Amino acid sequence: MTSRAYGSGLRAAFGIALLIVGLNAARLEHGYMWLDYLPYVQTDPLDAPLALLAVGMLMIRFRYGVATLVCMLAAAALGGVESYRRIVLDAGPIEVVPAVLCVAIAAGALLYRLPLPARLRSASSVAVTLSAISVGAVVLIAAALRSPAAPAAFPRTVRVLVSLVLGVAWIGYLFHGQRTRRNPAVSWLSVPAALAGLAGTAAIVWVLVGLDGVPIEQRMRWTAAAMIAALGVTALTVYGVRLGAAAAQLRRANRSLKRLLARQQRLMHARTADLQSSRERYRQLFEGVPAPVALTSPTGKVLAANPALLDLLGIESEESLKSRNFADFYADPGARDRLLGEWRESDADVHQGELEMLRVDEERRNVLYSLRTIRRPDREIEFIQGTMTDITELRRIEASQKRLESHLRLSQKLESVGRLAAGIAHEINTPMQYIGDNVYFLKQSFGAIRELLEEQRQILAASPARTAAELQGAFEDLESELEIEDTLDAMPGALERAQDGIRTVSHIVSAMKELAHPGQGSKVSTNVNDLVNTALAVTRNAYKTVAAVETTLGDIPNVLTYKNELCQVLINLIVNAAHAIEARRASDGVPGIIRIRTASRGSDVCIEVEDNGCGIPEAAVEKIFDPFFTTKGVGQGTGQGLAIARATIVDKHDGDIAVDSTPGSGTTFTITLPIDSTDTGKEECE
Amino acid sequence: MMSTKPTILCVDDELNVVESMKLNLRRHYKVLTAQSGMEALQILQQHTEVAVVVSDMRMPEMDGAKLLAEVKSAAPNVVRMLLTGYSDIDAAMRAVNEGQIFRFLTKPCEPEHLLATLEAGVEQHRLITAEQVLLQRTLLGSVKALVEVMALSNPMALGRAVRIRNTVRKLAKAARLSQTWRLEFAAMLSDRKSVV
Repeated sequence: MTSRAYGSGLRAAFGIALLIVGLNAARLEHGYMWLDYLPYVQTDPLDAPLALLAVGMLMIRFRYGVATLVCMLAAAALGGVESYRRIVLDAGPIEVVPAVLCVAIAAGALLYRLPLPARLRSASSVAVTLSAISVGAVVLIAAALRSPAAPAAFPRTVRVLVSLVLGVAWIGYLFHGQRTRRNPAVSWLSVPAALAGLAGTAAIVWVLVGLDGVPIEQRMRWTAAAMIAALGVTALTVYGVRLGAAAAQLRRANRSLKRLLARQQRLMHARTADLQSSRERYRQLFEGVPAPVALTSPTGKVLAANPALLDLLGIESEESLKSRNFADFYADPGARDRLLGEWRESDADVHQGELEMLRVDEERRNVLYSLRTIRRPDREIEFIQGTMTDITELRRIEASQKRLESHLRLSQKLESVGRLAAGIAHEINTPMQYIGDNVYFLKQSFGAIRELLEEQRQILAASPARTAAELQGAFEDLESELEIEDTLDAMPGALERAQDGIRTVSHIVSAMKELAHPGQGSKVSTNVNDLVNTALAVTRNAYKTVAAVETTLGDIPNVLTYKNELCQVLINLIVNAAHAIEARRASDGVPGIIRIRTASRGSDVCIEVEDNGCGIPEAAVEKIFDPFFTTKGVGQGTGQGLAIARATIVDKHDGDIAVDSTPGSGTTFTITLPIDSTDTGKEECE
Repeated sequence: MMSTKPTILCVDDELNVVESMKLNLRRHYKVLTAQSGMEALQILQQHTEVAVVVSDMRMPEMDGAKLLAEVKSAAPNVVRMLLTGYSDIDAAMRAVNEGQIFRFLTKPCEPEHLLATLEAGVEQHRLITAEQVLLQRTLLGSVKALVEVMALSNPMALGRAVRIRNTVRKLAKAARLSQTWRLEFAAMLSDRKSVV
């Protein structure tokens, strides 16, 4: 049971006790003893306020605030009226006191309800209640003693018991108000209060038990005086106790506050020291870090900048940087606003990118920036904190590498053209040889035919009178002398061969032209099969003495390619295949074969170049696409061919080039090119 | 004249080349053609009358330099020429060194120039053969006279000398030696003291 519930229970018990007291006090008026005449209950005007009082007390127990208030008000009003009536009628103390008591109790309860200062309210309430109980008790006992049946009904032992019970109730009530769990220190300080209570009890006992010879009215007056004195002491003590307790509490609180303060101060000193050292560390970090760091506002105001940033921008002091707008340091004056717009729109707070900055000395620097936008709750950018990395040098190296790469590419192309040139010269010179031969023959033949014609004319002119038979004979002699029949037989063949030779030469020349043509700026729709044939035409001299070529050209769609560069790749692969076969034939003489296949595979076009040459040693397979890696002897290869092939296929065409090689038995290169779905046209295929 | 046309052999892996050459040369020469080194060597075996071989350089299987080197050992009297479009100094050097060729021609070659060169080749061949005929006729004639003297004076020695010569000839053939006449000559006169 909580102390609060306990207190409420006590209050209720007192309420009930008072009810009984009130009722009986009223009855004593009529001379009846309550124990003897209980069944003959007679009403009294005081019954109603007393009952209301009791109900109000009970209501306190059950915390019906408004009901209590109403009951108490009613009890006070009714009790007041009754008191007034009895006082006016001069009914004597026995009649008046219960009525006044009733008013006092109700007033005490109401007082408790008034919005008075807590301490006053509590003290007055206690005083009124206690005095009411005490006086009520004394009146009750006096009434009992005064009755004719008193000696018999109240033997000495009963009087002692009653006085003890009242004393205990008195003390209990005193203690009840003081003891709270929240403030246990009060309890030992309640001893004076308890002593006062004991004094009051002794007075009651004295009234009830002692001095039989003294008339009851006198005893009552003394008792009342003693109790009022005790009450005064009690009230003062209670007040003092509470004051003392409050003071002690204050002192304790003060002490603990002091301790707390001291601890806080110690803590604060430590914290301040920590803070200072960490501030120092952060300052060193900010100023010492070699990366440029800045805190700027969206308007371009520089709020903080470290020395590395000053170095980057070529400014001597932070102040002169702060006096300028940060946007002025962007090489492109509008760049900052544009970027700010992007950041504003973005959901992300961290942004990265590349910028060109302009130093004070007008020198441009390429930087990579990485920043965080600090936003207000409405997402508007408040600050920008970021760092930069100067990559000017890197970019310069990259550019020179790119230049070097393009030089290499060109030199590789020249090398490959040069290497092929001798072979191509042979390829052209061979048909030129037989074109010349055949033309020469035709010229001779034409001479012979012309001679025949002229001879025949001369014969006809010399002897016009000859017979047909004579003429025929003469002509035949002439023809056989000039071998006309043979000539005529051979002429169609000669013409055909000459034409054949011219076709061959044109084919080679056009293939060469295609190869030597400078790279187109953009991709063109390409028939890969045609490209394979071109590459084969140009490289014929490289492979024809060592290998046969088998082509399986599938039905494939056109692909967008850098035609010229792709052709170069094919040429490199075919020449490599020929070299590999040559290397193998030198050792075992197996007839060489180069197989070239094209096919469409899903959304890709595949070109396979397979040879049965010497293969690539396992250790070299990993490296064949590296620039400058070559297995050929010094002066035979620069090691650029496959590196450029990969750059062309992977970087420029978004394709793939793979190699599968078995040392000693051959190599297959597979090129995969993605088919552009938007390109299905065949307009470029011829 | 018609019947004594000299024979020449043209070798090129390109049929058009040999056919076209044949067309222009047939009036002056009996023209044989081959499209590979192996075929050329076979033809040479069958036609000992071949005076000049004209070969291309770049051919599958056996290149011109190698073919002419083979020709040199198989038929040393045949005059060897290289007609090539492959203007590679290495190839030319190899052909000259290995095949000891008579002329090095480059494609395209004017038919007149080819004809003139062939004429020179045939003349060279004629000179070589004539020299050999002379050798055989004069030197071997005197040796014969000596041998006949030996036959008269010492028939037993002659029989021995003939047996030695036969053995030497077989050995020389097995060893693939050329100009065996010197060895035969030495064999016949191996028992010189019996002549004198």
